[in-house]
Amino acid sequence: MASISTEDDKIFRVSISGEDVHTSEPEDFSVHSGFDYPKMEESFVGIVEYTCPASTAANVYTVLEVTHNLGYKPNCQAFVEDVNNVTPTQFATLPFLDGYTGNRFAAYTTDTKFIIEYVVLTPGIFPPVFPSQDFKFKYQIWVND
Amino acid sequence: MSIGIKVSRQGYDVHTASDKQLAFTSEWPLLPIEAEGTFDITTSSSYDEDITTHNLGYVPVFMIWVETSSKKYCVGSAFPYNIYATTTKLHIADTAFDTGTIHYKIFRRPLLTEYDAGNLISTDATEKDSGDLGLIVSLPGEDVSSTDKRDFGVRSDMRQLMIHKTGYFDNSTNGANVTHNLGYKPMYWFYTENTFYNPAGAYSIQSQTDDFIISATDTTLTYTFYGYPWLQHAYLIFKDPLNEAG
Repeated sequence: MASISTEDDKIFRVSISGEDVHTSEPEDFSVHSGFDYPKMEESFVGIVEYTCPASTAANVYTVLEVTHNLGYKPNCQAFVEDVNNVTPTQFATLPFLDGYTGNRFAAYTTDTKFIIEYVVLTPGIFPPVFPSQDFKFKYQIWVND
Repeated sequence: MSIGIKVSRQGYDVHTASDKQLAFTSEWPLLPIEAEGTFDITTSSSYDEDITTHNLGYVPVFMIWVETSSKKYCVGSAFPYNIYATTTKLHIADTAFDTGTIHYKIFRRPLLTEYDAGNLISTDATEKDSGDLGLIVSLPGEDVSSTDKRDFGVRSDMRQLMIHKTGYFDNSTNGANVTHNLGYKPMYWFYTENTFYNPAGAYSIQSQTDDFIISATDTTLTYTFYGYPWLQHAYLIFKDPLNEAG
């Protein structure tokens, strides 16, 4: 296995409340210096609101572009709120695909940027769903790659 | 007297910072990375093989990203590779629709765990501190003065994923309400024991799809599965809001 942990490292260990700090179980620590953790810069976490274009022509629109210049492709995650403009409590993780049109939101990183894109495919037999609808995205760009 | 540690994010007074304004604390866990790696895939090739063997003895929390054409995507309904974890393996059983690389992380945390950290301070602090104090912990073998932040396990000048609540539901229900009482709509991860395609005891990442709906309020996270037969699902809720930067 491509393990990256060092279980026997004892430089810095903080057990979870109620657990013995001398425990040998890594699951019982809140922080353990032998492990890496997902983490993200404050400036690489945010919210963006977006109104989809009215056009239904096939295209790729940029919802958000963040320059990170890390020199590698960091991991990322993003969520979209109000996926159908009817039930505003609904959320989805990106990429999110509309099952009828194939239109989708996706998030990715390159060596320099984080992008959220809105992909409009050529309309099929179903009417488009996303045009002119409002969406809100939460994104995180991790330091980890 | 309880003993522990509480570290606020940079710029927040540790005495008044709300739970989500912390970098980490001994009151609840983070997500320790046990293993990570890559698995190359080729267009139209079928795979039914182990990506890696972890042998943790439990189904671990894991996450996947897919890199193609020099773009690294987070996974979801648009890139629905059938990748699942068991008590010993991370496995792929699918046909690649593109040439690329799957990136995985396996976390040292059992997926099927009932856990609730509770809420300690729900009101955000408005008063900021100077941000001149903090705590950074370098990884084994790395210099604590490194300028590459990947060389650190945790840092108080960065955000960590703090776990608020985890749990699972068996296949006797097609949905459930999970009370979190965070006061905001929280970030989540969902997993499914997809016995339509995979062995019992194998869990894959679950995204919102036409038949799996996730909604959130300031107090409750709700999921509904519209397929049948019903399936077992597991979730993680983080102390991090979906509808604000936090």
